[in-house]
Amino acid sequence: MSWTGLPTQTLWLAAVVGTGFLLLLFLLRPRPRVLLVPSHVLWNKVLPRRMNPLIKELIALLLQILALLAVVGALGHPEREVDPVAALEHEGVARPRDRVVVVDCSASMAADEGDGQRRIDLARTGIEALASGLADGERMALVVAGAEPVVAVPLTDDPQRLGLAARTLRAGPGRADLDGAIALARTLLVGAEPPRELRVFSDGGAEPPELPGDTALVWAPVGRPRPNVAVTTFDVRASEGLPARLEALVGIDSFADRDARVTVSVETATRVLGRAEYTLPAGGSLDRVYQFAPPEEDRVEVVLREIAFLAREGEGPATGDEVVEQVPSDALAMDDHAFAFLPQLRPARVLLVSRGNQYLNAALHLIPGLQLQVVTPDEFPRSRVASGRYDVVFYDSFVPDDLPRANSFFINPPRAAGGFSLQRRVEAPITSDWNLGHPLFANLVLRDLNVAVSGQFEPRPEDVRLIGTPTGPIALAREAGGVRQVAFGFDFADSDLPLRVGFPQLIFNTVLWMREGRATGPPTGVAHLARDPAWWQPAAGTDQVVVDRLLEPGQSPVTRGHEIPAGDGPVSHHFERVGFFTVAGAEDERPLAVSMLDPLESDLRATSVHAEPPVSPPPAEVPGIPEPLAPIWVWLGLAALLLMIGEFGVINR
Amino acid sequence: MPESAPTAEIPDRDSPLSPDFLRKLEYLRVLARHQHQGRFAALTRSRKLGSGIDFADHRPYAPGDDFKDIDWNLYGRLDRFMIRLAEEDTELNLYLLVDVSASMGFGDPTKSEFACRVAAALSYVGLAHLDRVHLFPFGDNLLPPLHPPRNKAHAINVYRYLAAQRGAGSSDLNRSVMGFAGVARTRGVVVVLSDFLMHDGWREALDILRAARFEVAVVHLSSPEEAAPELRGEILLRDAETGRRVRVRVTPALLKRYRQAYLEHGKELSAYCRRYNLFYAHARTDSPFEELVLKTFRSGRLLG
Repeated sequence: MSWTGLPTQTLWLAAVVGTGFLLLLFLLRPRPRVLLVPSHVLWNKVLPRRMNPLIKELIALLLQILALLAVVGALGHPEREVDPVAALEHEGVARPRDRVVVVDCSASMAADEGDGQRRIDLARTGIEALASGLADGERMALVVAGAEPVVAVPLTDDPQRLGLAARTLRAGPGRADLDGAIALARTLLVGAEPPRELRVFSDGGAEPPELPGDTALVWAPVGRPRPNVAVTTFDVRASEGLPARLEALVGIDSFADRDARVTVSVETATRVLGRAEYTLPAGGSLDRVYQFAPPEEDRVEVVLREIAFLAREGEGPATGDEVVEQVPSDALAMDDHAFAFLPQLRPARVLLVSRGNQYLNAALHLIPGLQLQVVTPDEFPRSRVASGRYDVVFYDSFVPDDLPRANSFFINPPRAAGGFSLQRRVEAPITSDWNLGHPLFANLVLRDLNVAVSGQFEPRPEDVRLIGTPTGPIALAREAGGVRQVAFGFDFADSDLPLRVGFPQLIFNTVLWMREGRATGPPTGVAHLARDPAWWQPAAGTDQVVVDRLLEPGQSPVTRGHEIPAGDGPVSHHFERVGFFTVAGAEDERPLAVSMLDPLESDLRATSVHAEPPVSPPPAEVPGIPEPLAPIWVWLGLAALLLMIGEFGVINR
Repeated sequence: MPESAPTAEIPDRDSPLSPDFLRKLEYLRVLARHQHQGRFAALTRSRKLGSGIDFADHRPYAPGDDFKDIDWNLYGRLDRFMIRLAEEDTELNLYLLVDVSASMGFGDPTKSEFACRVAAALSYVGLAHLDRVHLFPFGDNLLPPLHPPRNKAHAINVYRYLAAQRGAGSSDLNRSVMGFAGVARTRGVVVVLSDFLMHDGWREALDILRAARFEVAVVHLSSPEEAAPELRGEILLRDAETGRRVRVRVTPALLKRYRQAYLEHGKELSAYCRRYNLFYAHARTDSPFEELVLKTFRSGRLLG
């Protein structure tokens, strides 16, 4: 037994002085006062069988002295040591240890621990200490648990190689396959002779694996709970309406036990598109939509700035009503950014085929951001319509012989048009019903429509009746095969519809409904989550796919790309950083916006689920290598506590 | 509770009972549930048949009977001389067994003083109705008794006699009652005034009294300090009667158990009396004395 805590002389002095003090207290203990009572008859019924008070006090004194000695012993921090003579005797047959170290390199390991060190740095320090402490014959391997487990260093007795590998450790933006890494580490220990050890440096949890009886599993938790605010949702899309605008959905989560104040900025390289300051409650979340006009750039980034955690009630110095900001600050910077490519907006393109319809022409010109082309039936551009160039085609008293597939609005069709069959023509039809729930009639009330003469349709089951008369519909809508069609059986000039104030709104609704989902062009890039691998099919004739990091706002360009050898099949890549990336040599060379957006990794409040090393067979005793025993001081402290409880029980029994 | 010895602290007051109270007592008399036979004529109905007013029975005439006792109406119907018998009112023997042990010296007023006043009141009632009152103070044994003459003016002597008894030592009701049964030849009403805190119990004594065909009335005295002692911490409890000491760490739980035991002690005594149809009254020394006599005793049919 060796004493590694307070000096032995100090311990002896504390024990003697403490015991003397207890004896003095015992001798000077107060005597109970005498009280005269009428009789003991009633007291005898309620008093338990008593121990002699003096014996009880002596037992209590003994327990107190034992508790004192246990505390003094605990302060000495005793450790069991191996008899050096015995170690020397067994040195010839002792087997050195084979140890495999698994280090978690997930995003959360990049968390700042507050003193300038990140969790990965703490793990690195631990690995370097193990490497430098390798005894003769001992071997050690290093397995990096990143998105894919990798053997960084196989079993070796070279501390320099292990140290070099440890220095290159880096926490990526994704998750760690810790279970896979442990399984890989086990394979490294298959051929090793006992004693064997598998040591895991991690801040997260994984199920302790089943290990052979002679393999010890040591779980080394890294880090402590830290507050963090992260971007967990980010997406950009075109908004509804004409003209279309862009809107960014930003979701922020607070993983802190106190309120957090954060400034959210949606910005490109040159412009700030939206900026606001929010206060999130402890553990709260926030979703906000920012609308903005399309910028010149094709990339956008959301950044969390000026993150401050607010003092809870009773914390920090009182400063009146002023809220005191509280350190520590946001622990993980990687999740304070998210990236996206902007979709390309394009205006609504409308073709009006008419011999002249001033009402419709005027209503279409009122719609902002509309590209209108007006042609006569003789000039009908069939091929362009068939190619999908137009979002909406208005056929005014005209139906082409071979109707191309496009969103169509038939006005007073002279014959069957696009599947709308004309039943007959009626004069002065009485409108009896309006389908006001249809998007075409949104925000409109068009009752009491007066029509001179109108064609009456024979509806099909899939048709939606828009305007009906007692004898049949005079306006129908249909949506089939990705194409939307509307037919009004009367000429606008034969009705008072164009005179209504809602007529432009009807045309606006028509364009909006038919253009739905077609406001953007093909995306310039794709969004990608860092925790998932990216897959590409190499282009024909290429032998590698190169992934380069693009320029980020405020950062210098990255010149060194990641080259992925290409074979016959698709290739994959795990991103080690977040940001914008280009791809070359793949069939799909669209750039990627890689973001973390991973609440599990951003939540730094709980570290390892294994606060204590899990139950595992102890490593084989290796004479000559002093092993720290179970912390004896803990047991001594526990014994002191139990003794005090016993003393309390003796006194108060 | 007082820490000094509680003995002989009863003040020798000449008038422990107020004149108003005494006037009220004169309207009362000791009620016996059974008829007892006294020696001298008095105001209490007895089993003795003689020259009373209430008709009891007839018997044939025998030479020597007084002619005035012949029922002439009956002679007219039966043509036989029959003597008319009537219930005779005789004296009632009222025995007061008063505990004067050391444990009675607690409370304010002490249980002894309270017992003295109760005994004096009962004596006054009995003597006012020409009943025979016998005072038997007792401690660990029966003490010399007092038999006051049948005159209500002697009720004060009962009080003075009891007040002069210096309570000391323990109380042994069983032994005292055995001595009492040996000297009390005539049956009557026995009123036991005590706190019933006897180490040897009280059940045997009451059994003896019942077996001797006495009418037993139990007046259980207690002080507020006994009911709810306000103690705390480590204490040496000294028994006032035996002098023995017990070291106690008084905790709220222990006090709760003590109060429970106190209640059970009273309930046990009360249950015994209820079972054998005995009069039972529990009197705390801080309760009004006159209310005990005028209400409790009357409602329990000890006085009427």
